[in-house]
Amino acid sequence: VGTELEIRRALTQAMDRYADGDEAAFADVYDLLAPRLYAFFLRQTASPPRAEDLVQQTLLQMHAARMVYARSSDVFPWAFAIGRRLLIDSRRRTKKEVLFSTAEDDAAALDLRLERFEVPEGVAISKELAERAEEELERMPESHREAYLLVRREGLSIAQAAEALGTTQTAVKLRAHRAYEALREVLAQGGLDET
Amino acid sequence: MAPPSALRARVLAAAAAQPSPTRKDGRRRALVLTAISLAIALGGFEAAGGFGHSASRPIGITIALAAGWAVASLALSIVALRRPGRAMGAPPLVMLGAATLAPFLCFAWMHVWSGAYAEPSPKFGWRCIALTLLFAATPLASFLALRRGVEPRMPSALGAIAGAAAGAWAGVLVDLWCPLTDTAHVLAGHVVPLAVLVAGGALVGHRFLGVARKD
Repeated sequence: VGTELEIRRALTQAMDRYADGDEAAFADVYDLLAPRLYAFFLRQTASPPRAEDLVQQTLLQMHAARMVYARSSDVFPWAFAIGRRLLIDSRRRTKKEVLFSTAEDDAAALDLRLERFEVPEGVAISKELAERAEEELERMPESHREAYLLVRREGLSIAQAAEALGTTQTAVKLRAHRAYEALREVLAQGGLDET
Repeated sequence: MAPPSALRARVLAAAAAQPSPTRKDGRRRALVLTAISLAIALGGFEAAGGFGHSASRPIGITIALAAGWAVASLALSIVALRRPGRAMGAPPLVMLGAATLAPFLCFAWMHVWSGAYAEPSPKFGWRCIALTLLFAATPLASFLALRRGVEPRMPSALGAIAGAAAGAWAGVLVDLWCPLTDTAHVLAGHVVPLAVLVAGGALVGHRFLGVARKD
């Protein structure tokens, strides 16, 4: 928790310096933020090139908008809100996109799913469960999936996720809980609980 | 799941290639645009006859009317602009709710004073509509220009609250100018333009304020 708080504080300070005109601070913003954004986009798209593109776009949006960055405000909700908007736009543009078109992509996608659910790769049944959980995650309403990923996977607080999604804390709690219950049900059917 | 190291160089190079305004630049621009907006509004107010135009109404009522709109304007501006500790400001639903309520509240406040004094002959309110739109146009356009492409959540809500705030501030000047408070005139001349600015702000905000790819 201490490290997480320190990262957030360091990120806020770096963004403040950058908004004030310290050009070198953007590298610090990148270093503190990019890994989180990349993980988020990779989970959402299962495509490393798209995740990279979305990280770049998100950071460039923040660069362009530094003039309006409110002093000492939490950067994570802002960054994830921008990222989420870009992700939605990107999905709209590529509605019919086939995500896993080659055998190599298939393998990478499977690895990603296993990593997402932290399932031991050697356990065959876990792969099936991870697949089912993945399908469930993709089937659930986008609002539920986003709330779940931001809170459970990215470690944002309920308040931060609510700010990023532009909704209330109650709505975030409800959506994340529904997503969690849906996943738990799927995994419980196979004897694996999503923790 | 760390991003590839080449991405870092790519992002930093892209940012360096497209310089962006700093917070200080933003403050300077906001100051200039606010001064221009004020000059246009006050110039228009004087050109239309200034305080003298509402001289037939008791000064206390004129001040009370304008003060009510000023309070509403201040509240709307706080919702639109103030962002203590929050990079994105008030939640979109709060912005949308405040913007939607504004015309109703302003109507209610003006209705309180209807019949409280002997009014000049009633008029439809074309000049009030024109003045409200004229006074509000520059601050609204300034806000949209300063915040263009930066709202990731609900740009229409930010546009709506900006329209409401600009319209309400314009309404303060129009109240100081207009001597009428009869219901039909208030609705047509004061409330409708405010509602138009809220709706227009939402539409234009949806088009211009939202985050979009930078390619």
